[in-house]
Amino acid sequence: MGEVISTRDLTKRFGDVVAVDHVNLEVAEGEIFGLLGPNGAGKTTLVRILCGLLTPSDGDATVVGHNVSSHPEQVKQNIGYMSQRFCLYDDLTTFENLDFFARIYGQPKTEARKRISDVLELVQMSDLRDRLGGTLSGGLKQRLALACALVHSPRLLFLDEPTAGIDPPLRRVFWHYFRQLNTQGITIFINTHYMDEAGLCDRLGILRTGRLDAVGTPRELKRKVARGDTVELLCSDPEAALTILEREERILSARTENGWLKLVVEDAESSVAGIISTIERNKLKVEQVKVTETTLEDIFVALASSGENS
Amino acid sequence: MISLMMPMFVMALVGYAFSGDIKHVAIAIVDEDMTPTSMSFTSRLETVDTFHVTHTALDRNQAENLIRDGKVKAAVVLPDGFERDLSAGLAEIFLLVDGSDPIVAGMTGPTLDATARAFSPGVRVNITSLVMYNPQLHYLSFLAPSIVGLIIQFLPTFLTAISLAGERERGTIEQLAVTPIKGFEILFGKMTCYTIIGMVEAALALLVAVGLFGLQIRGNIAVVVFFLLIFTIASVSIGTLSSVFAKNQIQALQQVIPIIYVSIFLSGVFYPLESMPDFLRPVSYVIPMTYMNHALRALIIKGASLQVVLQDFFALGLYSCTLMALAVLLFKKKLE
Repeated sequence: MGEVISTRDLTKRFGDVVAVDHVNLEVAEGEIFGLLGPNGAGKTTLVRILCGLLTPSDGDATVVGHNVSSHPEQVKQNIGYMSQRFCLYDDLTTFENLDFFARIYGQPKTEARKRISDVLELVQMSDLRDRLGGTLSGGLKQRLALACALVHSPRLLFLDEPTAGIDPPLRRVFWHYFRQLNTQGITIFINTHYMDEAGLCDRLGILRTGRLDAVGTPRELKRKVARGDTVELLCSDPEAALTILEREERILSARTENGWLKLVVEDAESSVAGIISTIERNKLKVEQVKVTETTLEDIFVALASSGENS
Repeated sequence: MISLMMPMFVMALVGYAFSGDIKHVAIAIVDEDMTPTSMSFTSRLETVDTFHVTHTALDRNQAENLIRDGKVKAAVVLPDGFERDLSAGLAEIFLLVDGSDPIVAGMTGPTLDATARAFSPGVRVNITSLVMYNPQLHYLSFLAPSIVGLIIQFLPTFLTAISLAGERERGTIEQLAVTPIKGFEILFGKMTCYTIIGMVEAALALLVAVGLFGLQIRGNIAVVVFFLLIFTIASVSIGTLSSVFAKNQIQALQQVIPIIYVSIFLSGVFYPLESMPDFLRPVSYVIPMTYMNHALRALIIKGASLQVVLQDFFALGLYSCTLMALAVLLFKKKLE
């Protein structure tokens, strides 16, 4: 199995703004790759370059075996793209939208009809064939958009924040679709700013202000970035405790949240006792202690603070 | 910005276009007398501002041909015996006019009369006019072909301009761009659609003119349709070009509007080209509408043959091809 996506120092500038800054990443065939980052990080721009919708200012990228700068049209034949906002035709019905795109990809009529029925079944919209695109609710529009991205059986699927603005139950349904497609061998590249979704991916890339800060499996990232465990303490004055502990060397990062003091330490086992005694020495009381597994949110914050310190 | 400039621009345009007196009307002279007096009168006609003597015809037949072919708008016939009759106190002049341009036709008579009166004061000169085509000088016959042209210049251009820009605005162009469809295929699809719509609109307008107002299409209907087609393609191409350079529908519209205004006022639709001031007249030769107008009037009212409108045909054809080529070359499937 080879790489379906491979970039080399991929850069995109809009005037003075560097939206994508020398990104190097690789996505293997058949994996679910997540690009995680806050709004404005450059995720959409990166995906647009990989789809051939924007030309790189510097560097290059190879997608499904073709260079995006020199052969964007060959790339497009083999990829599906679901954009962040609904961009299908309001005046066409569900079926007509799917049929339109199926025909653009050059599918013969009977094959197309079968394929359309299949994707409609996948997104559970078979009974909505004749509804006008404009009359569909937000969630249904997203499902239709996903169906249109799949109607030509692409090898690689680009999803730009596909579950944005969708309630949790429907988000779960979407991920059910994604996993189903993945078992069929389709590679998925998904942009997201939801931490829980990031955890569902095979591999992750973290994009901030155009730079790829880290790449790896969720587990690798936690180990690489956080370098430790999280200890959470419920105490009488978390802010005061924060000030005290911040200066300690064994504390990798510290923050308060909802009255809890969250610390990342190299090794919880050896540090917990010492931390509790330090707090109590300063006349503060510790009510509860929790040792929790590092979440991606913590990774994010750690990255952000290390960015500020450097 | 355009909202501020537009009123001033349009007013200036209209003011200049309609301000002038009719000048330089092409006429032919048939001198059947060939006497010093007739030749002197001919010279006098050559000095009149309103007229521009472009041809000297041997007989009335030739003069009629010149009018039919659109080379002159009128012919002045000085009959045999003109000198003799003039000195006797009562002379006759024949005037052949092209009725397809009623405004010009309407003022050749009075101008000729004034010239004759100034030439020999006190002598009565009878002017007998014969109007070729459109004998009642119906303004509608003059206007109807132009209105059809206007409809084509106006509607398909608008629709095409906002179509692509609209897709950009709504975001559907993004989904379209990510498919392997080629740029020119998208353009071709849109242009074909609006060309067909434009032709249907023109046909409907003509139908009303013929059915309701009795307009007679003298010329070959196939040639008329052909011209309508080329012009529609030119209009659709203008609309496409505008949307290539526009980020949204409003911008696309704003870019097309000045072109349409100029086409309406400077192409000889409402008032003859001859009445435009000299400095503006070159502009009218750059507008496709001018050629369309001229061709349609010649074809519909005078039943002119393809020969006569060949120049218009080439001009419009050149326009269509160039604009289409530009649109295809400049349209990119990128999102920036």
